[in-house]
Amino acid sequence: MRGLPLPFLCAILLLIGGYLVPPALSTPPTSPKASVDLFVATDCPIANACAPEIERLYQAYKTKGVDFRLVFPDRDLDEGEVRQHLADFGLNVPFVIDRDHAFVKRGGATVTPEAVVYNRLGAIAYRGKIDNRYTDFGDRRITVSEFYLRDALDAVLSGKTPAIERTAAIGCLIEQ
Amino acid sequence: MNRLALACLLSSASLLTAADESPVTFHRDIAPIIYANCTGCHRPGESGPFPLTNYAEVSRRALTIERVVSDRYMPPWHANPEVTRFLDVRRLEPEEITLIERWVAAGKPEGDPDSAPPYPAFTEGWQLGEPDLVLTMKDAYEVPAEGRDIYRNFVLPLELPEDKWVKAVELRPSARSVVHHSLFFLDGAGTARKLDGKDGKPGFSGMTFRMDGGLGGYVPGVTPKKLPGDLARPLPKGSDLILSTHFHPSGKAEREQTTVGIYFADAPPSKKLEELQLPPGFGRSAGIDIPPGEKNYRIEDSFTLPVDVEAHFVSGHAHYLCTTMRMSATLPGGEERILLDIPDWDMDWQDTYYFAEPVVLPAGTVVRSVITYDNSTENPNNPTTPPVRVKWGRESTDEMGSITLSGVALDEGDAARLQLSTRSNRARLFAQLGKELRQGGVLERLPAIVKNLDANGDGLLQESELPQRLRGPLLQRLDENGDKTLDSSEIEDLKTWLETLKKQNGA
Repeated sequence: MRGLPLPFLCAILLLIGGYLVPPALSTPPTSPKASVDLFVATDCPIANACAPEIERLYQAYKTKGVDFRLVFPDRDLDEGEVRQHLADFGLNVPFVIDRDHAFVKRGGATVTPEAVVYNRLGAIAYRGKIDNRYTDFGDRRITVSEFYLRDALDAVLSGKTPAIERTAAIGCLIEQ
Repeated sequence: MNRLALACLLSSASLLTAADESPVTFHRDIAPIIYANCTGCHRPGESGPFPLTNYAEVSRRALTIERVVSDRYMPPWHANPEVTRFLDVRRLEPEEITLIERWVAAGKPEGDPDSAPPYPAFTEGWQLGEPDLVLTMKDAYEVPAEGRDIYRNFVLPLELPEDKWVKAVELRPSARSVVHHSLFFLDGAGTARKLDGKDGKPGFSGMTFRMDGGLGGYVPGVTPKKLPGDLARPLPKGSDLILSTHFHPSGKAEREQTTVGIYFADAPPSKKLEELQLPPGFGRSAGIDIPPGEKNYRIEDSFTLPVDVEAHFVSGHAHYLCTTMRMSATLPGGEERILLDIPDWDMDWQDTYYFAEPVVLPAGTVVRSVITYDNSTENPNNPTTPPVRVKWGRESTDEMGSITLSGVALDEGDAARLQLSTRSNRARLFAQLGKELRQGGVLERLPAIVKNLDANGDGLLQESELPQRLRGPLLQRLDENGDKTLDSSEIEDLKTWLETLKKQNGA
């Protein structure tokens, strides 16, 4: 291979790239290894109680190649309200207002807060709770002992399937 | 007759069917339920996390509303209304829940605005009108964005020049999203002032001050109420008001600077309100000691009323591990009445429940309370994983448990006897204290303890130097010459008495 001229090598790579290399490998090296849609609301107390953990996860995983996105599945929300909310809760995570529920449908989210983790192939690797902070409405664990989203991300980053792929998220229901 | 009954049955059945088929609309069917049960808190300036004041706001949260009313998380109300009739019950009828479910299933139709009930005239600001005395916390307390729930006591000096009687206390938090509830205590000895701010933040934690009574509490969702009739709670001059506030971090750092409004009675009450706390000492007398993993720990206590009592309200207190609470009354004839049944205790909603009608309990009635706890991992409220042994204590991770029945002697002539009996109920705490003292080697440490209590160093224990809760019983038992001071021979008697307790407890 060492003797081959560079243009020739590139041509070969381009040719086989489209057929043999899985899509994830063909994407540029800056592309994420995983992405997370976090479904939240500005006025859901359960989602809001998770804000500090969401920001921590964002800060911890953005440098590891995980794309985070807050998704507000609310037709009546405007961008100014969201920016104010993010400032109030100290959130620096990029956001989108999902007015037509495209993100909701893609991820199959039903409540806020709910996390959907996509692997590099775009398949859902995990969907559900961020952690076990809430066991029901009003039943908040004093000690958080399960970190489902963190564990799922660590698994995906090391090329594995998360040990727990689905949990039933608890929170405010996403209005259809 | 049979034919008539059948006809009635048929026509009512067809009416029901007709009603079932008519479309449920917001304005005609849902607004009355929401306005009457939800909007009181779910409106701007109140504690509900989002407003529910019109079609758009209710429709935007319809699925969540359906979910929380179906399992009765909302409106918050934990006493079983089937066995006791209370005032201002915040609970939906099954038919109302069905209506909400049908409305959501039908796609949340708005309907004709003309069919809506008028929007209620909610009172803004002080719910009971302008208070007689308004106090605000001197400094704001910072509640972090997250972490454990916080229990913090704040001292509000009242500086009252004379004794007062209190009809109600209303609380206006500055950060409603984090103030979960607040209990009002009185401290006549300035012990709380000494603890205030010791850790560099306003207030102090733990119920470690001298409680000289209380003025009720505030729980969101409860409309502030003045005590019925001419009843009022004593507020002696020189007392400090202690707000014992429970905070829920909300995800956002907040600063709380509570304002309190106090409503005084014009005159002393004709009858003194007595409290019967079972077990006394917020459950201390029951010697709560829950092994780790224990799923059904139970304490029980009972007390026989010496005179006819008219009971007005009831409330419970416990911490995270408590699961159920029940207070019953067995009348002399054998009839049993349930005074409070909380099948699913939630520390978040420590309410005071007012009986719909005052409950008359004849002399000889046995009042009994039963409280259960779950100290296993299956209890999501368990503050410790893995579970640890939990004993009675003043921190929220310790446990407490008692039910307090409040009422008056039906016959004014019996008031003194009732007072004496509630006092002797409190004094039952002594047996347990003696046990705890013995276990703690108090007998051996008695000289050091006396020295510690003896604030002015005169070798005597004046009334003011004795712990408030023990003051009455200690003097009653030991102060032979009645000078409200324990001298060295009386302190010697205390030692002898502790030794007797030690023997009685079979050490």
